[in-house]
Amino acid sequence: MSNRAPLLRAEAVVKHFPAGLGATVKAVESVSFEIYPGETVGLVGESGCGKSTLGRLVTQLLPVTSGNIFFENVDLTKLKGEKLRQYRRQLQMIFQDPYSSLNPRMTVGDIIAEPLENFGLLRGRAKDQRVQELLKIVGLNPYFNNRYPHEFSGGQRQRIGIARALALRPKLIVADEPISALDVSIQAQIINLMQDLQKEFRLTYLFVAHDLSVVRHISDRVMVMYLGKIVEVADSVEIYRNPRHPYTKALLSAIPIPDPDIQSKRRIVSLSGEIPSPVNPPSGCRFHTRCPIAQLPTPCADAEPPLEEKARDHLAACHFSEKVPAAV
Amino acid sequence: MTAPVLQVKDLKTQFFTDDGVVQAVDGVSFDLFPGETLGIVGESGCGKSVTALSILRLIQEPGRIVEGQILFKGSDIVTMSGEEVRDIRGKDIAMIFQDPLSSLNPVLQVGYQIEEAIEAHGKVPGKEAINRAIALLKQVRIPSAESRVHDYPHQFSGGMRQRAMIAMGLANKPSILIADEPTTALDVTVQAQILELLRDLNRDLKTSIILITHNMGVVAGICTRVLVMYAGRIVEEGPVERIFKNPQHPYTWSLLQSIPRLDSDRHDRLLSIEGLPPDLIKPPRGCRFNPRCKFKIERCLRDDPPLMDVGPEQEAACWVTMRRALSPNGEPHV
Amino acid sequence: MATAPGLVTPEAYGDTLAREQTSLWGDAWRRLRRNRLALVSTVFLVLLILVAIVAQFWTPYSYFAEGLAPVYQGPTAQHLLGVDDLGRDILSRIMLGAQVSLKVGIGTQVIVIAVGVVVGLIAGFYRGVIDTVISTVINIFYGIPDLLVALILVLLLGRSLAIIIFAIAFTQWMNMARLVRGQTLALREREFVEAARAGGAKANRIIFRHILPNALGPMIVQATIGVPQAILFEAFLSFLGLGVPPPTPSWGAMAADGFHAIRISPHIVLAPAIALSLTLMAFNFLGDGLRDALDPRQKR
Repeated sequence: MSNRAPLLRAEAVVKHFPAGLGATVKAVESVSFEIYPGETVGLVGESGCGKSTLGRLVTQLLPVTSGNIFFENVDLTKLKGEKLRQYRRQLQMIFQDPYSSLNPRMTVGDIIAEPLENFGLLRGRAKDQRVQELLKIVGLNPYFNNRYPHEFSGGQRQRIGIARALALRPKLIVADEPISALDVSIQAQIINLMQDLQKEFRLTYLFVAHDLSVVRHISDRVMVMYLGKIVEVADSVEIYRNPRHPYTKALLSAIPIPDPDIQSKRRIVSLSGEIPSPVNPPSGCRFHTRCPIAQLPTPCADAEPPLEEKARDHLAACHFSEKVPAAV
Repeated sequence: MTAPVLQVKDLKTQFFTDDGVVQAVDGVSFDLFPGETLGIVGESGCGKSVTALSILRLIQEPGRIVEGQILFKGSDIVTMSGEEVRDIRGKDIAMIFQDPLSSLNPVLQVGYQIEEAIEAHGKVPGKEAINRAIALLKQVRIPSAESRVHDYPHQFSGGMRQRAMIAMGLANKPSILIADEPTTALDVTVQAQILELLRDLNRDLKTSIILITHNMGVVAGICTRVLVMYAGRIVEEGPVERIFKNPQHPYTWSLLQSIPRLDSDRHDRLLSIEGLPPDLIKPPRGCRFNPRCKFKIERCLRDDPPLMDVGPEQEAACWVTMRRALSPNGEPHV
Repeated sequence: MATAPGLVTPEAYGDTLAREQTSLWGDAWRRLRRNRLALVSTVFLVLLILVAIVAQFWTPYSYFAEGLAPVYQGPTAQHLLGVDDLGRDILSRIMLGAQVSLKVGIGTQVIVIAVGVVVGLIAGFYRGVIDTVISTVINIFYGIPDLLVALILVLLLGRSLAIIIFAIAFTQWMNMARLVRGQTLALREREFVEAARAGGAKANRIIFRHILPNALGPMIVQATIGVPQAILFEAFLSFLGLGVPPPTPSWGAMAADGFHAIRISPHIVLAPAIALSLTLMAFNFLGDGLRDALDPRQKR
């Protein structure tokens, strides 16, 4: 994996939002990572961790406050206007809410064709054919291209969103919580579809979600975020068997497993306190206010632990990662 | 056998819309026993929330309970007068909802709202009311309860707001607490804490809990018995171990197979349930699950199966059942 | 087209649609049809338009011919609404007055839409300095008293129908601009707009393909409610003697003409007053009905 060149490389990406009265929301704080061609990287975390913001920074739907995002060695953050727009052909996005990510006043065919029109790629007959092809690829009847979004169910609308993202044959797709708004029985359909499409079209995914079970299932590697920072990166098997950051361990222990025997025996790692506000993140390690193994005040409250390799291909940002016991 | 504290018999709740009559709850019957935690699980549109709202007669136009009985302490909630129902709400049967932000009044202090819940069922002198509010906040494990009681909802985090809601629900020591998706809007670490709280409260206060959710993991965590709902009906019910280890209804079985599990090795494909959720205005003929069922036989298209015994204390509404659909090594015949 | 193994066949998912085919406008139309008041109002307005069109070619009598009957005479068989203080047939004048009112009503809204929508879209979409400047201009206009402005414009530029339409629109465009600006501000944050940007859409496309069509509903309602406001304004100007010059009949002027005789010949004031009231009510009921019908929150 580390031999190939990364498709996307983020370097020290920072995103601050103004919050009124001089305060800023430090949504993403100096985040660096790589995504390799053909892989699925899962980005997981709870609310306020900055994962959705990071997804939008990668596709440049939001500009960075500082830092660089290299796509195939071109720094996207240095591109403006038309040059940036041209890169959208390679970097597409699937959105969370199937009910608001489709323009209710456009037909499904028009919605899917829009990216093609934006870049003048296909016209007339050829364009219509491509739209129908895309509908078929995502498992929808191609003759539905004249219908409107509200005539479809949530799962079907999400397929339309996926078809739209595929229209330009992108290399990287950022999926921002693509199944969170769907019923459980439909989620599996979409997960399977995304996996099939990845094989067929050699896609690379950045899969942003809060549900670690789903993320583990679909991802090759998983990145865990907390309060704007990446706290752990590992492959999906390793991160469950051997978490090296206390937050990851707590997160894993909290996720319910549909098995009453296992559930009754599991011990939840209880986190004290609440998630701090991103306007005023804690000093040093951002997790120290809730961490069950933090040593205060030194080093956890005054030195920020770097995200570094603790084992082969396994990164964690913790001063005491060797103390995090293996998963129960 | 102890007597049930609540008995729902053949409940039918319908919504009279311009498109037609939506049969949201179509013949649901179950008993709730004292001290148990009953899970009602299903996806959106299955009727679980409507069932809960019906129990407390909270269904509004264009919806109506059209048939059935809800027996509580010998009286039928369906036929009670408005005043009698109001007397029960919040006192004997309490309900908490999914989104605490919209259930709490943003301009009133949290303590005041808890006091309101207490005083709705009898005058209590001021000092005592506040003390009880503080005690309740402590019971739901809100730190610094004495000062927190004067805070406003926006000063509470999501998890704390939900705890405050639970405190309000428990204010009058109800025998039943109905929790409608209480953790769906919360982060997973907070969810775990709230579920732990509910489990402890159930154990310590002996309050029966009806937990409504779409998350099978949540059910596995704290429920003792489960009802699986689909298209307004109960399709399977039984003790939680049996439902998870030995699901007999194809819907339950498929649902469990389609959920990615944290502890599983990664497979390549999840089993998915094909098709779309059912139309509640014109449900399919025969078994309502048949358009999506991989195991159906001819009879399923004609006759609507009732709940039938499939094991000790376990019932499923299926002509086939997974026992017959799966070969000995657990693989589906079809 | 290659299908990877395991890709689902369309039949499994796509062939059933969740709902029967109805467009959003169809839904709205159905809701509107059920509103009796709006329906009656629409019928009335259609008739009114027909009357106005017919009046272009034919009226029972010439609208300016005087002395057709004894002055101040009330309704008779020959003059269904009677005659006014100069012996002119009121019915004929009411019919032509309808033309004036409708021209004013619709003419002002055309200008209001043209100016207000463009200004609102630009302010809402680009925000920042542009929005601040535009909003300041809008607020300045709001500060100017409507009647004063209209009076000054009419006195300066003359008493023609076109000037009056312009003057009234001058006082009304800000409502539309503010509405459209608000809609634009809200719509630009919607996920489908973000999705359009992600798909490479340029600003023009986003404004005209995504934002404008979704703002149409409230815009239509605003315009529909703006018509009676304009008509009333014109009637008021005419009542003050500043409307379209005689002998062109305007309902407001007709009411002014007959005011002095209200005790002895009330029909001279009543006819235009009732016509005006009915027209205003009809537009308002229709506007309310449209607002309810187009409300996106109603799923049925």
